[in-house]
Amino acid sequence: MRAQQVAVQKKEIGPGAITREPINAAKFHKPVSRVYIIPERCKECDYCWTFCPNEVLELSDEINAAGYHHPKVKAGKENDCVNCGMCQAVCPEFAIYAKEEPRQ
Amino acid sequence: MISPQVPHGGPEVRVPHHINDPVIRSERLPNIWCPGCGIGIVVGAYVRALQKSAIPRERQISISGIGCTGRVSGYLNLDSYHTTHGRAIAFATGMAVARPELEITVIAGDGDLGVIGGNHLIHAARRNVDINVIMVNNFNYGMTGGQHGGTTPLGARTHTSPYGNVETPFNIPYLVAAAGASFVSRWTAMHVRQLTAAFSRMMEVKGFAFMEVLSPCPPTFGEFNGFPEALDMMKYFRDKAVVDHNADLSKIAVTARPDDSVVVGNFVDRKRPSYQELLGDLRARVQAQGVAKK
Repeated sequence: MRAQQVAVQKKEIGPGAITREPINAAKFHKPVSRVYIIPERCKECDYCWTFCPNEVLELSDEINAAGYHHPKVKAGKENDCVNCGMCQAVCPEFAIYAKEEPRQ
Repeated sequence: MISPQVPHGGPEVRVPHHINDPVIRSERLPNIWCPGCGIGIVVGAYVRALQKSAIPRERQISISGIGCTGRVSGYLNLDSYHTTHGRAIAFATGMAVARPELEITVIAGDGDLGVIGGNHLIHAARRNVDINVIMVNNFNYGMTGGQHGGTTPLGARTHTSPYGNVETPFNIPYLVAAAGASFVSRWTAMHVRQLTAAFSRMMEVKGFAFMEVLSPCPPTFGEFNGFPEALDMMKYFRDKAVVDHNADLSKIAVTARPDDSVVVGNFVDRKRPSYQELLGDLRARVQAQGVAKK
């Protein structure tokens, strides 16, 4: 907070300001993950796609053997899953999880 | 420097197995619980706590009683026991005394632990037996068709109280804290990360560690009490839950009405000698003295 005030006084923040990049910035990245589902276990409780923070999931038109619509990744949202683990945690059926794609 | 190649996501992948499958008996899935039941979420959180725990799985034990939540033991790939109605804690106490090195977790419902097994609950808390107890509270007897019970809130409608329940329910965390438990908490099926964190803490606590998990019960409770879908009750938990670790326990009874808030948190975490410690001390003292001569 104090550092920020000093920075504002010295006009380092704002348009045309002198900014510097953290030296370890290259170590951090936004994870890109893939969603894995087991459609036969789904009971269409709607939790995973309702509570997905990035709104990656939606209900599929397909049904499984028991007649339930399982979730699928929304068109155009393929790169938006960040592997927060919410869908896996909130699924009562062990039917969905996400895994981070490895970086080459 | 070559920048690392950014991977691409893609559509969902269909797989036959879940990453938690080594800890559960996946051949028994899909489970018997209704769509939207919170018990599956509790099992998932417990499984993740098991995977994080430093205690090897050979020493982890799960015990359950009768009822919807009683089926939990059947889905866990541990040494798990399905005991008689209400006696899960009695069974666990015996096991904990005979084999103190085991990490024993009782997962059972509110009717099982709080009503028919109510005496075992308060006396295990009084003795501070070193076990973990997870009570999944769905406010009614779900498996037998939705009768009202000892945790049904005042005025709530069930199949056997169609004009509103007239019996005052237990305030379970208050009861267990008063009885003397080392760790008392309450969370809901919506607080998935807090559940896992609290389960991990309960495995570390020496003494009686208790958690009440409020769970949606869409077909036999929610439908008559303003939560027509399971999702409505989950959204209620998300929007109306107030995290207060220092709450006055006498004022945190659940009303389960759509407008009222629910107080959750890890209310009690205190050090008291556990039953096993005291028993071990006694055994050591008596053995040092030798057998008393007549």
